[in-house]
Amino acid sequence: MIKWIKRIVIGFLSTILILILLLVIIKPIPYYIINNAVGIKMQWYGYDKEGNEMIEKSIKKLKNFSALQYHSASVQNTKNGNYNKAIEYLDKASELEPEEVDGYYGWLLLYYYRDYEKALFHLNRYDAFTPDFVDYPQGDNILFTKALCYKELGQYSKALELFNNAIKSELKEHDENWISHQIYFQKARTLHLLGQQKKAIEYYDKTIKSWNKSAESFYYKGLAQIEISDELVGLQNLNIALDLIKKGYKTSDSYVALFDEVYQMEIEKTIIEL
Amino acid sequence: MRNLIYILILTIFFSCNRKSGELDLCGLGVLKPYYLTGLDYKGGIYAIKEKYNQEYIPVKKGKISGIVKIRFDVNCKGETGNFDVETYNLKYESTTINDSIVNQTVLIAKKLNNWIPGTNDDHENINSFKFIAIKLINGEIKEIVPK
Repeated sequence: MIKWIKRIVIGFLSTILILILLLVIIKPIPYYIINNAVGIKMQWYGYDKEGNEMIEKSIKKLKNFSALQYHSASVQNTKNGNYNKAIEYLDKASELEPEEVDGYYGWLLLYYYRDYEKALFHLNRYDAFTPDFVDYPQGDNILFTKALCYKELGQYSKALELFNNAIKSELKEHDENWISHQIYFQKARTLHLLGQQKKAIEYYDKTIKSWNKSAESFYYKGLAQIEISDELVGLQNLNIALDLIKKGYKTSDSYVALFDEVYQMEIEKTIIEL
Repeated sequence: MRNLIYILILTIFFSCNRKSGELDLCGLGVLKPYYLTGLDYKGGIYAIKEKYNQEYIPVKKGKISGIVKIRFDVNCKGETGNFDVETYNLKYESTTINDSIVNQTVLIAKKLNNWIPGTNDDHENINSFKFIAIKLINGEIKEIVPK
């Protein structure tokens, strides 16, 4: 009996010793792979500093840190606002495998960082890898994402050209019902910004036809109508938009603000100021 | 070894951050990230931008372009505290920005008092942490993210 107890104790102590040797002194490659994964998970729960320290240590020890690993390390840093780290890692990932990373990177710079020039650089480079194929970074038609960049930079004519190209590319494979609400809506916004209110209204109507609860379409359509002196109908549409938004109908995203997203307070303010 | 302790903490508290400071945190003081709790602001990012539009006075001297990131906690009552600031240039490198810009942006963030607390799976209000990043070009606010 004592012999067995001795064996168990020695076995237990040996295991502890081996673990200490492995995890504290030797630290083999798998240790740093796990360390990196744990660091990323810790950041998810908000332990930024500690998580980043673990990730950085793993990067130093693991030679050939891959683009995917750099990409993964950047994601949580963006969500926690650690922009220096997020961009440092994404720049490295994009340098290593631009054909894999640039689509996501461009999309992120567009929606999260609102950095349109840098977004265009990465989206253009990504698009150039497959010139005969329309890519869909994060699910968005790449021509649409590039058009958004130009629109937000104030280059409306270039944006309009790209929105038209995005629609054409969608129609190659599908009918008009397939065109996403956001593509028509953003085309309408661009026409509106170019001062082409009547044409813009035509496209706001297309979005309403595809989704009759689009608060943003009713809102901007109402504004366009008021601008061309159709005040009564315009105000009616602003009130429809307000009613819809109060009922929770509008386009939004869990993580990022969409372009020209409307808010109840915004519509109320517009109506009061008319 | 320290990393092992982190893992242990993580396991015990299952996804929770803890902090003590100027803000009276609810319960055990557990904090969760805004994206896990659904923390929101009444009127959304539009209302936050409106507050900055009304109160921020553009600065024209010194380092006046870059990003001010303000991280803070929101307790279960919607009160804020434990403000922490980091500043970046437009290439996203850590840098310093004119104090007047930083002080103003933090002061306005402290005046944001319409937070709708985050909730847990049982729909009880809980503590969260959040950040806002304010992008400035030539001393003027160009963008505030995230939503």
